[in-house]
Amino acid sequence: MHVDAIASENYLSDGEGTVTVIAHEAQHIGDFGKHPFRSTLETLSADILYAGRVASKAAFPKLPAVGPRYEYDPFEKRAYAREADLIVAQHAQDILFPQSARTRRLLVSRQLTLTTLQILDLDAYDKMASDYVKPKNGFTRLFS
Amino acid sequence: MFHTPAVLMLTTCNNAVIYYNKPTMQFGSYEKPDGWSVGQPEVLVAQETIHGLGMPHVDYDSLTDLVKQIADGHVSTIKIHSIPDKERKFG
Repeated sequence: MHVDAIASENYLSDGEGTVTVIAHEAQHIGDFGKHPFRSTLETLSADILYAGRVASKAAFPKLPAVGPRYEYDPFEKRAYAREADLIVAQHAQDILFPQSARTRRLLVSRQLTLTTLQILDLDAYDKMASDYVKPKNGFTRLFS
Repeated sequence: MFHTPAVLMLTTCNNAVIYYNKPTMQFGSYEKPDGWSVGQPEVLVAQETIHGLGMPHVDYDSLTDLVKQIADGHVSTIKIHSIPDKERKFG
């Protein structure tokens, strides 16, 4: 399974980034594992129809392309549906890059724990951690 | 507006060849984040990606759960890389 990290972490930073792409591709692999014949037929038909779309666009560049888009194939539809699954959202922090836009968003929205920040070498932002407890000063300690 | 049949055939073949023979991406070397144990999907990260985004933190236990739920644990290796901007196509 191949994942383009720059695209998935930056352009899909509103979602779950790399994990979104992993879930998408894992759905394809799971489909092939459960229904190999049906998946092969679906993939082949989608390839042929998409090749027709590309050919029609090449032949008549000024006309709209004839044929379905690749993402309208049921094989792809299932994978896109999996991307929006709640399971994927629960695993959003399985892979975290320290310098990605998505990690920055998680940091600002206080979704990372202190331990995760330490692992990512982002200790300087410990006050942004979800489990950060502000140390009490002497005055508040007196009345607590 | 309309091409001659020969040009039409050539452009069609050319596009089909490009579509079916996508340029193979060459990546120098991969590194494995810490924490992997036998039975879990391996995560390999290309050097170029580490230079760009840093070495990722991978929660292997949670990732294994995800892969088991979606693909019945058929995923063995996840290669994370980044396509150079020159080769990137949008739309």
